[in-house]
Amino acid sequence: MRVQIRKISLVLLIVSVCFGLTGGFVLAAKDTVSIMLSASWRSHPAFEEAFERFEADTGAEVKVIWVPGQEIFQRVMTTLAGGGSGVDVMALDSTWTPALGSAGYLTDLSDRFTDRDKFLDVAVEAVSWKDTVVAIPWFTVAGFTFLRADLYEEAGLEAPRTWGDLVAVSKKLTVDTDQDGSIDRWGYGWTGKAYDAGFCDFMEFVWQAGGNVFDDEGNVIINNEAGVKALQFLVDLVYKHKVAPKAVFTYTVEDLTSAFMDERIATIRNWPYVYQVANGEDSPLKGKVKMIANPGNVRATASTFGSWNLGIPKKSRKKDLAWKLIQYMTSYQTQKETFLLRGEMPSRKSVFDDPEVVETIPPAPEMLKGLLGAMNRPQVPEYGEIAKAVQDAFSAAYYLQKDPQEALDEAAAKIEKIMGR
Amino acid sequence: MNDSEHSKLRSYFKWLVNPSRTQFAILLVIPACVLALALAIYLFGYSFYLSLHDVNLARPWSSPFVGFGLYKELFSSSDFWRSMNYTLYFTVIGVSLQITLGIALAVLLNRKFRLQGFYRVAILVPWIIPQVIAAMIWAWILLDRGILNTVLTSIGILKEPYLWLGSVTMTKNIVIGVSTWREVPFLVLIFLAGLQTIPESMYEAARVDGATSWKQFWYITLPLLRPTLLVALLLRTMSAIKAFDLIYVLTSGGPANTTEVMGVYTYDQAFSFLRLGFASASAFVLVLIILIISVIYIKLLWRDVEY
Repeated sequence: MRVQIRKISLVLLIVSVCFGLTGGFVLAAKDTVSIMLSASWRSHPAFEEAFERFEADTGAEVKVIWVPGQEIFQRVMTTLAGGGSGVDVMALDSTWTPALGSAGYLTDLSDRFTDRDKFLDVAVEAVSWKDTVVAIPWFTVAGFTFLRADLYEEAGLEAPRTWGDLVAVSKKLTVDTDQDGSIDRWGYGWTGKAYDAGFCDFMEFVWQAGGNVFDDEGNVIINNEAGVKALQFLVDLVYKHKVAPKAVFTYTVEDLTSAFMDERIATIRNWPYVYQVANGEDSPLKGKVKMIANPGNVRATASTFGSWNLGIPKKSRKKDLAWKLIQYMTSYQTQKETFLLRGEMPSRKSVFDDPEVVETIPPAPEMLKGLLGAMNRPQVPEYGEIAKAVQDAFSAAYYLQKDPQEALDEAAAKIEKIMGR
Repeated sequence: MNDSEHSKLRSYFKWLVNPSRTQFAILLVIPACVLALALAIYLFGYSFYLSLHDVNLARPWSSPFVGFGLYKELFSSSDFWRSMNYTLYFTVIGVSLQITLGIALAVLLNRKFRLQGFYRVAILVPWIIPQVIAAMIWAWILLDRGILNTVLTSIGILKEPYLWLGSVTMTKNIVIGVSTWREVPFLVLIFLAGLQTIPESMYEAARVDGATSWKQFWYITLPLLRPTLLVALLLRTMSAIKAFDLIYVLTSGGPANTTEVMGVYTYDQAFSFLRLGFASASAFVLVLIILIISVIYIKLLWRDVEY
């Protein structure tokens, strides 16, 4: 009896080991490339097509790891710090380049990046750290102002070019349409929530006023006259001029777009994708939305440069396949399709001159102009902490907890402490 | 070895070779205990070790030993104190509210009435919904264009939509409200179980003596619930101090950091700023606080129940 049990167990052991081994082979038969993307791009037709072309040409399968948009930095960092051998391609924001570059988590792609002169200079700069290239530019973003051309025409108003214009037109466009005592449509809106996108909006106003976080020598100047002027202007838009709803302080990018599409705000500062959304097939605002460069103050206009780029973790075991996928995703064709279908701007200069683009996207020249004049947020590894310090400042001012000078002074002190560590 | 030494040896290991029932039970439990303790000590120790070094993921090659420098930085940071302040507010007010509601609802559900079974199950629904999803549901309900505002403005209670999650004064309390909605069911469950251990005969005796319902509650129910109360308080307080998921998804610590509990503060330090050493120090301080509070609870409430 004992011998029988021993025999059976031995047989079972051998069989399960065999299954385990063959199972491993079965899995390895189809090559997969894993790519980590932000869930806010879930419905990007152009990416799907690039994946299909890649899969058809290489026989490998693309596995997407979707990560919530507000968390993607944390996920990327923890994956990379923890090894990251399971992910082959990662979508990386240009502001992370200094932190990632200094930490050394990504494969240096400078040798493979042979056609860098075809890409926008500012885009290549944003992915470079010392003499390495940590990622390939994929699509670019810059902030623009979107307005309801139909409402402006109706009221006989011109598109605003300065802060003064902005206040004037917004006052005229803030209306109580059904006479019930509460405003139904506001003149202006922006992303006021204290997170990275809100930080971008705020910085644009600071740059427009002539300020910045650091000056050319690296001194902290966020609390100078220009910074305070910018913050005061935004606070006044809500409380003094009353052309923007208090709700903007809680708005994410998506909330703001929603408000615009629901016709609750007439003019917004937002990202390029809004143009495609507003002029999409079943959009109620089709043909009514105009896209212009941001109104300026001391500076004629200013907008935040950003780009999403594709990099390969150092510990990935499928670097060649990963590089191939990156090539497909950053190809001229994919960039053009993404631009046409989703409104995300390309990083390849020539796409802007493509005849189809010129025909389908009238604001393309304005967008290129905006891109060429766009400014970079602080390019330092401590970017996350600095952004939070500034966010705390504008948030405190928005909610009237501190006045702009006090709030920014505190931010400046915090930033100096961070940089001095 | 001679005979007497043999038998001495055997007597030492008798419990291993021929254990009594209790000794056998202990033997079975030892492996799990050792594993759990070893893991806990390792994690605890490593976390403390991390907190003594300035570990920064953006500079993985250099983690200098800074002694208690990070703790000094922590205690001199106004952000830390603000966060600690709100965490204590959230815990004290939240837990008091939840325990009170928990006991009240448990007493109610303990009575026999029609559909008692249905209500006992129905009350569990908030607790069954995962934290993150519950937070998202409430975030949408409380939006400026969310259903709460729509209902209140159409009835006329509100003149215009209120920013439930955008008020530096109210949001603190709304977060406690959502947390209460989510956590009370579990407490009801615990207290219901506790109420079952109270023999009906005690109430009968009290009624014969002419005690009112309120007196019955105060002199019979509450004292006999003491062990259950201890468990409930301990569990809820520990959870509340460590609260993260619900608040992070609901407000991300906003507006203007007014709802930034220690959980959110530590998370941001670790994963947004990549300062693992600093975050470990912050987490360790939290652990010490929880430890102290737990000891206080046990000292105050641990008493054998006398019938």
